[in-house]
Amino acid sequence: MENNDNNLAHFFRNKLNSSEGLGEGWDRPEESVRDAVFEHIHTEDTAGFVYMKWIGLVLLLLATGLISWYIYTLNQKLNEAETALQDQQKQIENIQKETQRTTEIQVNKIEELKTQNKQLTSDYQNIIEDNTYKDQLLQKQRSSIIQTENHREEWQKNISNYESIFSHLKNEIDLLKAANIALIESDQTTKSRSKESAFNLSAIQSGLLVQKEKTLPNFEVATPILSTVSPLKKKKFELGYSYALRGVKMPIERSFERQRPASERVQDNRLVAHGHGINAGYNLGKNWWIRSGIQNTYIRIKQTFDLGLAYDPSNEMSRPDGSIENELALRTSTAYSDINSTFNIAFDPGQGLNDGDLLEVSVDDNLSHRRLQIPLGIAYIHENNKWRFALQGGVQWNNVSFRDYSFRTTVRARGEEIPVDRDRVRSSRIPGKQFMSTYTGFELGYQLKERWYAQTALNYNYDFINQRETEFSNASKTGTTLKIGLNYRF
Amino acid sequence: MTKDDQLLIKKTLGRDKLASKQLYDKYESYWFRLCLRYGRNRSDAQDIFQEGVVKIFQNLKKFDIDKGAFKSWSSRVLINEALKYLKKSQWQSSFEDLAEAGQELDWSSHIIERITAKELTELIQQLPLGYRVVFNMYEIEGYSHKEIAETLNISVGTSKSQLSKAKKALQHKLTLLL
Repeated sequence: MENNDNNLAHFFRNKLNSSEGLGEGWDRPEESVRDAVFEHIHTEDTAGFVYMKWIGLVLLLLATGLISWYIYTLNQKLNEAETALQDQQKQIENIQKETQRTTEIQVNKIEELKTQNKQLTSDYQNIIEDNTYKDQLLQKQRSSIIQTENHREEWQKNISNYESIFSHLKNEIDLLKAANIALIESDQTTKSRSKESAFNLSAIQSGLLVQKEKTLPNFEVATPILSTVSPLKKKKFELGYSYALRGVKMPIERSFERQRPASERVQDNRLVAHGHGINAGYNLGKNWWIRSGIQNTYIRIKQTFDLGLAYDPSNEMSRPDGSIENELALRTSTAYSDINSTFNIAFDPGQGLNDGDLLEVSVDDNLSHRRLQIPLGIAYIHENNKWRFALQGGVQWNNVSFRDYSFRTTVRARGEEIPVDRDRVRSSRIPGKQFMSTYTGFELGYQLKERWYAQTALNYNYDFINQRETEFSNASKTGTTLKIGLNYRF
Repeated sequence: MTKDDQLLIKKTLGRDKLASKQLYDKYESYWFRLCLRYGRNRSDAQDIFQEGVVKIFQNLKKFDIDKGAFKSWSSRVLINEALKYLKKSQWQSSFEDLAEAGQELDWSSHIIERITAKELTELIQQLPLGYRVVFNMYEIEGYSHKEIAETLNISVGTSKSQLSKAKKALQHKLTLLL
């Protein structure tokens, strides 16, 4: 059965799908159907095309309308924009003018402000500098106040110590008063009771000693505190300048060579020489100082002296003009120099100077020496507040040297002046002299400022010089020096 | 699908009238035979054909060249149109069983070979609507019973039963014809 069905299906499929019967017309529809189909298909196409054409036309019209409307609108906007642009240009021009005017005003203001700013900057700079300076001053004052405060505390301690000492001293005075009263009373009692009084006095003295011992430690404690207050105690060096006035006794002997002196004099010159010096000191400890320095003293002696000579014609010479010339030799000697000089006199033969006639010679001369001293000594200086007193002594190295000599001569004979042709120093034996000397003296000083002292000193000197006994027996070995000066401690 | 079909379809879509005529001419016989099998007579077939072919050309742009042959796609369009047509007039009680019994055919006879396609088509046209449709869809077009059931809104069993009875009816008619 099933096989039969399959055969049937197979049979129908083969027959119906084969090309059998093609062209016979039975398997094609009527021509009218064919035409209806194509008419339907093509009508749809045509309708679609017409529809599309209408749509296209509508769209074209729409587009044209839109474009026209857009152009019209655009044109309107363009006109509006042009008007607005013109308005804006006017506004811009106005704004530019306003801006230019405002800018000028602002520039002027800026310039003005710049000037003010410069002035203010300068003022502020000055104020800052002033404030800085004031601040520095304040800092210094603050540190000074702190230091002063510290000192005040120390001084308060010292004051309390002194008050304690003063209290003890007052007690001592009271005890002394009591002792004095006891003594007076003992004098009034009989001699038999004197031993008892003496005993009482010794007891009182013992009591005082005990009291003193009690007070002494307090005083010793106070003293170091006081010593630390003065900062100058710590300064170890001293340097200064001094001006010195020195009393000098320098005999001068004058003589004429080759002439017979009618008189011969040695003048004993006393004068005050002045000099300058530099002082130096070093503190050895406590009140002891070692001192040195250098002193330069000028000794100038200006004198006029008269001398009588017995004229000796042996050295007479005749001049071409017929006048007579004679050379006289002058010798000026001191303990430190020996100077030979000559002067010539000229006179007419008719003036008639004879052998042994008295010549009165007057000499104005000017002699100067320099004395250089290098001292080395020790000084004990006691200071009390601003005052100080020193005792000092030591040795000095001395060098006295000749510096200059000049003279002018006047000669008279029988009441008439004989002209002096020329006078000159022919030779000078200038040995100079070195010697040692000692000095001792005292000094009084006053503290001018923190480190500066003014002082005056009086020293007594003794020179170890060998006296030239034959010629200068009166040369002095002693002298006095007064110094005033200014010292700086550091 | 042949390259000719592809070219003709493209040209037809491009509103080429000549191409559309050529495409029509090529498949006119095939399409009309299909319509004859589903219709009760030539008039039904021509109605189905006219509606179906117009529908084919209207929906030609929906045809996907890559998905299958133009012949199969156009067959489906025509079948759908045929079913739509048949539902309008002949669908009522079309799938009722007919008590027909037939004798078995002798498939080895040479006489059966002489039966033409036209005659077979006319035999099919004589089948009741349900038998005719199921037989055509299953045996000629190659649908499965499931597809037929879904398309015709009937059960698979009914489809199978209709097919079986359609075959018996055809066998009986063939016997009478011989």
